[in-house]
Amino acid sequence: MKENTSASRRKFIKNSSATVGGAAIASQLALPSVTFGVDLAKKFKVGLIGCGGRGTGAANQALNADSNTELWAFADMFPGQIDKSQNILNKAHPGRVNVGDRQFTGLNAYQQLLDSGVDIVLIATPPGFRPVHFKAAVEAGVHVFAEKPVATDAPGVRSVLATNELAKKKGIAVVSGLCWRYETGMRKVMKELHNGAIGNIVNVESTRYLKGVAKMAERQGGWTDLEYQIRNWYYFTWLSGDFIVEQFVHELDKVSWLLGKYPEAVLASGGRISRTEEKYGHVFDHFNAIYEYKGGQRYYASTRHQPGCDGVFRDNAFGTEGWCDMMKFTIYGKNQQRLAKRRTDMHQIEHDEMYASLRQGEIPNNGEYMAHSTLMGIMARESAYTGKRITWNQILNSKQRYVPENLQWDMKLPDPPVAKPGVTPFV
Amino acid sequence: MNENSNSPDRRTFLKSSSAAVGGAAVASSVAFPTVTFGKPTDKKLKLGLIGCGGRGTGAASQALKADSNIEITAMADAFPEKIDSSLGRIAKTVEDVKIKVKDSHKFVGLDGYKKVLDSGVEVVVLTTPPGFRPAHLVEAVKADKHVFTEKPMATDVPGVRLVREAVEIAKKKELAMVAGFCWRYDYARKELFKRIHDGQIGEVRAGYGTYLTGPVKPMPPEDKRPEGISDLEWMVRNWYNFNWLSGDGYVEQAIHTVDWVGWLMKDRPPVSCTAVGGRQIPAHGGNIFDHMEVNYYWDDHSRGTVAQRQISGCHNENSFYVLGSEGEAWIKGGRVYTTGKNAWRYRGPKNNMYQTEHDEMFASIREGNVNNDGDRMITSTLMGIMGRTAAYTGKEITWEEISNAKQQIAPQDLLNWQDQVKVEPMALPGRTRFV
Repeated sequence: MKENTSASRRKFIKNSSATVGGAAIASQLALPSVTFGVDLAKKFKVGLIGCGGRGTGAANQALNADSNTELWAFADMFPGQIDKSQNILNKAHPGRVNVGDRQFTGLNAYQQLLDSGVDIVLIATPPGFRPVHFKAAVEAGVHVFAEKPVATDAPGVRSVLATNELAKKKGIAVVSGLCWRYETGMRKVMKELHNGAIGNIVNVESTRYLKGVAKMAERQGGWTDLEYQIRNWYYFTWLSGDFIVEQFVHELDKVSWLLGKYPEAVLASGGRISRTEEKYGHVFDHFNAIYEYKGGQRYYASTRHQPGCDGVFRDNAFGTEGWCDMMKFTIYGKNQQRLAKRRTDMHQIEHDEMYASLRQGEIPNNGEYMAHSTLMGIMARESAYTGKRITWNQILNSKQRYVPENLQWDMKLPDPPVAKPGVTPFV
Repeated sequence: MNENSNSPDRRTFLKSSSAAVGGAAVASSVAFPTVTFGKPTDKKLKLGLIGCGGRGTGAASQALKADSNIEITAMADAFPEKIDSSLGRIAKTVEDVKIKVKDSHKFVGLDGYKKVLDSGVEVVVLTTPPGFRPAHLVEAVKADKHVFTEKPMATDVPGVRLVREAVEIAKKKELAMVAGFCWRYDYARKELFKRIHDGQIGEVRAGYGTYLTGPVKPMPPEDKRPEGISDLEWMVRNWYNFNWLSGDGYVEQAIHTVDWVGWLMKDRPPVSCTAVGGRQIPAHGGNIFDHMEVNYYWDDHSRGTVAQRQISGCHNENSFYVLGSEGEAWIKGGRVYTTGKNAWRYRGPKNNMYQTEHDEMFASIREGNVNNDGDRMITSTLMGIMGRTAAYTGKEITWEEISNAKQQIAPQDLLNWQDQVKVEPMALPGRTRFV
């Protein structure tokens, strides 16, 4: 697709940008065709690893973001997911899903996909696999869009950080699915807060109480332990990280963005009381964490997944001269203002900007915050599991490994016990 | 105050001193008090102890030390062995002349408190498990007793309403109502909260308290249950593990920290709260959680958070800090201080707050200008129950909702061991309903 002219491209950008909103447009107007010998008009072959709902969504957004892309390959543990994903994407983007027989399944599918000639990979498998997939992608020289979180244990985070260094060295893009960083209104909020709209930040709170939780699949005859756990990945810490990592990482990342730093320590508690049956694996259903920062600030984080309870979703920052309801994009106090009315399609914008950057010869890198915000969730989870206060240094060096090594389809993988604070050790 | 209690001077004093105490006390002081005693030399006071556990024993001893002309004359407990052991320990701490408990005035059983109230005492110490407290409080003030009451004052909202009734009666009759929220009598903390209220750390943004400890009186296994005892007796002997009796660990113990939060906010009730909590360690038949964390919201956007846990082997901490717009305030490891541009550390005299609360109570009784902690003790108790209710139900609970809650878990008419109590199963957030 080297014949892609700037005229047709511009037209596409106009169309797609219109749905996306202002922020991305400006940067795309001036569109150099070739810089420093890199072929910026190249047709990108996109591979999708992990063809569930979020992966399919990400693929759709990648195809929306740039008209000169095609979906080149699918990888998933299970063939059924690929079929579903392919049907959806075919309908949305006729003629641009050109995967042929590049549909890989099983534990090694990701590697086969990376070897199939893709330029960009979307990694949307359960987070426990992320460090390995990320590393393989960067080693294969493929640009990465990685869903959040990027690991489920500290060794995984360290691996991601090391891989990210390699990515920087090799000039490989690393874009994170921590999508709030791309949300137009939230960017305005952060800009104002960073400019002192509420004075110095004193404390921040996030409350994210969800009722509905991920579906679980009843174990079928013939499923191995591994298949059962992967099909119920949400309920196994090695796969999801538990929900304070898997879901709540968005809030943790927003606050890290706001404060511009990571905490020195955390004191958390939690447990499971509402979904206690064996079929729910061993994850908790509630967490409460207090993060301590250098300089005295505190971040109060409370989250739960309990059907029948009240849903609450709050992100508030309190400063010396006012406060901010971040989810309502509103600042109160002497600089009172509402910065946005509704949220933009941040999942789309993150892809728009990724492709726009690549087309300009820029290499975006979100690697550090995606790893550290993930670690911030792991830190609170470990504090709640063990009942210990945990410092940033302790978690950064933690040897606790959740992801089993040398995964084999028929390996024995007993369901891990539910953590018992005071008994479960911090490792 | 050397005047005779009948003199006009005394009357004048009472009026003016009440004014300083605050509006609530003023109205009722118009009617001259009937139950005052003047100087210690004027009249010997008789003390009754209801609830002879460790705290009751300590409180009775402190009451006896607080006044020079007082004696303990009656005691009640659900179980006979508690009374003698308590009396023995009290006797070791005070002069013999203050110990005047005849065997006929040792009242055993759930109705023992009524007999103490009928025994001719003027002052009672209420230190049974809190589930019994509302009836004890109401009966005590109806019987014209000055009251020292341990915290919390109730384990459910109908109980709180009874306590409110008791407080109103106490105000009308000018009876002392001193609460075992003992930190309110600690010199260092009084100074700290006064400074916070005076703006030492600017505007208060958030207060955060921890009450993270090991388990208190954990439930014994069922096979340790003696043969032939009723369900009610088994529960009362293991009262901490049943929320109708203890209120749950959050309400029973962490209520001290809840009280700090209330104090910080000048005893203004919060608008609402959210909470998470659960049970990670087997409860062996009890129905209390082993951890709760409650976030309270005020209308000026200030926040109060209390983290409670009673699990062994975990990080233990009992501290409090306040984030203000111009600094922080801390209660940590026995140190009381502020940071920021008005950094300060309490270096004043230290006191035994348990003794001080009784010293001040008896001084107030002698002066005829009785202390009444009733309003704030109700607010703090209800804040505790509110937090527990939010954790149990998974609901965001408003102050108005909790004030109108109907659910009674602690019956107030239990007199016999064969009486039945309907015990709720361990709460399940999302399924346990707010009533």
